[in-house]
Amino acid sequence: MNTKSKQQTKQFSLRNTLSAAVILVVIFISGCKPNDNEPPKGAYETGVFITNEGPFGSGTGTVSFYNRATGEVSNNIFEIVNNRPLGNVVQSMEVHNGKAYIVVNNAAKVEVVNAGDFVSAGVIDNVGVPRFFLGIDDNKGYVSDWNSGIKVINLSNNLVSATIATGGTGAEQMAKSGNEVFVANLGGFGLDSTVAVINSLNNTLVSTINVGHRPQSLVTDANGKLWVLCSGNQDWLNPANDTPGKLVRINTSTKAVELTLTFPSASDHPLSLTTNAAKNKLYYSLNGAVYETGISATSLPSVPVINRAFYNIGIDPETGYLFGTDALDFVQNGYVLRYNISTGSAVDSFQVGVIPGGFYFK
Amino acid sequence: MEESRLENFSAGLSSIKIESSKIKNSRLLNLSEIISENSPVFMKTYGQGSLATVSIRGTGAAHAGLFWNGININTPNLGLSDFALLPAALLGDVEIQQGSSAALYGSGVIGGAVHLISKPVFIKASDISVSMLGGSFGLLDGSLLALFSNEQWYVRGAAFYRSCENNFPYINTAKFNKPEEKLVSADYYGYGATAEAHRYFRKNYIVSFHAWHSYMHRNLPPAMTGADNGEQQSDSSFRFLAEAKKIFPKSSLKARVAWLNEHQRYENKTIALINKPNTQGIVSEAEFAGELFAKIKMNAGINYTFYAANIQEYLKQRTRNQGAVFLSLLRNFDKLKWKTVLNLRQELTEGYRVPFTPSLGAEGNLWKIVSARANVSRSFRVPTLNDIFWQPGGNPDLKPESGWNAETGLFLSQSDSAKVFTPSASVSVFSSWIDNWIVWQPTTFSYWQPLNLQKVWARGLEASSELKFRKNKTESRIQIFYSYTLSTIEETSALLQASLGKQLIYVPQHNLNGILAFRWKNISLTYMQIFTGKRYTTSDNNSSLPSFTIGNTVLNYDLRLNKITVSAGVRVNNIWNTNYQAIAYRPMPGRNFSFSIIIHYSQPNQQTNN
Repeated sequence: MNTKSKQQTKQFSLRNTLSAAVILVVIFISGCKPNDNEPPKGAYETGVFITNEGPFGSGTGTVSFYNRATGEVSNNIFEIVNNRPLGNVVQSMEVHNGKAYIVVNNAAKVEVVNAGDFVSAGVIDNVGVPRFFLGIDDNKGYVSDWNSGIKVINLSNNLVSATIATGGTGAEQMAKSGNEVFVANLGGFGLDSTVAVINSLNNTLVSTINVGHRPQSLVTDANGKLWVLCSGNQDWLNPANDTPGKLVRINTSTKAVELTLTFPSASDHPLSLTTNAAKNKLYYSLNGAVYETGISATSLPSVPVINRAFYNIGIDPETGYLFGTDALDFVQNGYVLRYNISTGSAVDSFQVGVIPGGFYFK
Repeated sequence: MEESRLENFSAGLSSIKIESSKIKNSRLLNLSEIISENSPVFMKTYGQGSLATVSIRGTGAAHAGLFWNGININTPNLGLSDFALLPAALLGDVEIQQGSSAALYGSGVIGGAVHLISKPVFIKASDISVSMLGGSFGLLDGSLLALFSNEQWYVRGAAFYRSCENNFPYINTAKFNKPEEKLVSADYYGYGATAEAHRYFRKNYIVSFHAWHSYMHRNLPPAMTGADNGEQQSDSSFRFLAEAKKIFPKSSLKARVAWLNEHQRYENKTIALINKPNTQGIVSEAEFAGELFAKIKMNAGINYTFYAANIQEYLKQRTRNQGAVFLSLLRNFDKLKWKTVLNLRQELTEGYRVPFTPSLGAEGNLWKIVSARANVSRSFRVPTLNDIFWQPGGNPDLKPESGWNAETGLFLSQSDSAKVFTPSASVSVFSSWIDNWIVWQPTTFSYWQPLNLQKVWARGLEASSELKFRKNKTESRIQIFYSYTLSTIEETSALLQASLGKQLIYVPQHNLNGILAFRWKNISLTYMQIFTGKRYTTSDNNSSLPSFTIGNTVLNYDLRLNKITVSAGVRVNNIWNTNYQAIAYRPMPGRNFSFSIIIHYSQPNQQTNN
């Protein structure tokens, strides 16, 4: 809700007016600095941003910032700088051309801030059920939207200029390869099994590629290939409809599926495909563990590199550490844990906001 | 011989009675608002007309029973009730009973219970009233009440219709520049009717029949931080209760059967989701009350309850059979003006080992007008049908929650109402432990599952006082309620250590209410102030919502024309225009008004109010 320090001040002042008065006196004595809370310019130049979804229903999401050099964590940086909450369910964040685009799912908006100091620089509305942002060029960005496909954003005025249907439902993650954008058609609240190919020069759908049920995350590798992680179908009402996850490699030139690795069990539903800085190794979460596989592997690994469940994972390209989030009970501040992948052991952890679910490594 | 278990076979618990006469000019209100104004109990409300659940003594919504003439009407799928669905027009007396009475009423009555009671009186009378009400934000409400009774019959009916645009302005603190906005998609409408008939036969037979139907359709507004998802919900309830009673000189025998049906339709347009949970319950009960020995009265009974739920996520129709045997023993020490009650109950629920539930209570006079009370009781809560059957996550291995509750208190009361000043006061302290508290937790498989995760210790203090002044044509009343509640997590999973020792979310530590009522001849003025303390919104207590104080006031004028009284009322809610949120980012209306006219015919003339 508020920053912790601000919150504590607030709590005190509410407990009784006497202590509030004391605090006020202290503030006056110490000299009122109106911009005390505002960080110096460029406080967020390099580091790791963590998006925290926030409590479901009525809460607000937040963004935390982890300073690699000092190990310091600043929570709720958007509200500290801009004096208002971000909104309900902060889904993801992307930095493009010096601006950070924070996708606020249930508030149907993308908040735009200067990436260096997090000062609000606008808001993109009318984006349906937004999931992810992808910068295309200086003037153009894409926002995936479960309702309509891709919203094309004019970055000079932050308005939606066009909508691209993706030939499927529930547009989720996007990856750019040359002038083409690959979009995972997750299915939203339903079921889909395609990846859309969009020509970003003229904003048109080129084709769709059949992969597996519920393509959830995708990355490009060192060879320019596209890897798509399909979670597989999970039908709670009829488990007989369950299908196993798949890891699929696509040739970005021919759009052909070159390799399909199917997980052994219909109850295997992997998530969170990510890659290291060299883009020669892939990581994903499955059944409460993290697995690693090389980009030339022809079978799936059977032994995990980290035996722990995370809400989401990311690899820091600077340090090579794996960042994993733990949302605990989803109604209190969660944690980010840093792991040394080669040893499989935790390096350290730090507290962030409620339901940490996404990273941006800057 | 009176038969109500609540009234006769309970001792040592504290309760707040809100007689129907107190709320008869407040037909605008729903049960949630009635409780907020007349007790220190916290109602967790999502907004005017929106979902409102009760939290008694630091427990959750599923830890309070809601009883309609002795029948638990909490839904079997959730184990709780939405108090916004119960309008004043359909209610009789309301009694808020704090503290566990699981030994009397079974599963889920841990924090306390709210009883909706209608009592027949077999005297010749007729009473008809029509009310019309209009208010801010497009509020329209009409209701009709009719009562006819004589030595054999007591027949009462009530009906209401209400609609509200509910598009009040508020400051959206979650948006850039904090604009003033109007709440969207918050309109609602509803209607309902109740009927009851009681027939007193010679040879002391009484046969009673109660029926209830209510319907409410609500659009669900987004939180300040969210966007409109086109959410809407409609709730339809049918309740029937038939009862037969035979009164002997020193005993009584009673049998009753109730049928309950709740149907809900929820839709979220954004995610194209429609849910239509439908539940039914049949509750049957037989009770015998009588004198066991010279000074010991007893009440013994059996209960059989059947629930069926048709909910898509349960995969198929799920049912539950449960039964109970119960025995209460009352010993009166007349000379000492003390009574002691022992309650024993064993509930049997299909698939569960339910703890044997005893309670022991005593209350009586200490000295002059000072009385004391104490109660120790066991409590439990069987997992709800959602806890067991919801897919994904439903957990068939859950154990019932189980707890102990102890409390004691002092109260002052002057029974002589003829005096000019009538003071009364009470203070209670309580302590409750609830083990195996069920919490839905996220799993590594991206769904949530209920677990017997926590041990919760709820303890606190409640104090209330009332002073009535009556002289000639003037009457005034001042009433104050205060509660202090600590409800903390004492044990939890290793991962959630940050929650240990922390207050449960949305349980305020402090609640303070005051009522100031003044009447002079035909004019009455009532002012109510409600202070709600800080509520934590995260289980590690790192975030909270500030406390708030709101004031409501009602001015009423009665024009008396023989047997007809015309009451004109003005009500100002949130008179200080407080900007507050009961739940994070759910806006509440600022100062708002309503005007009512009630035309009341009664025979014989019952002109006294309050």
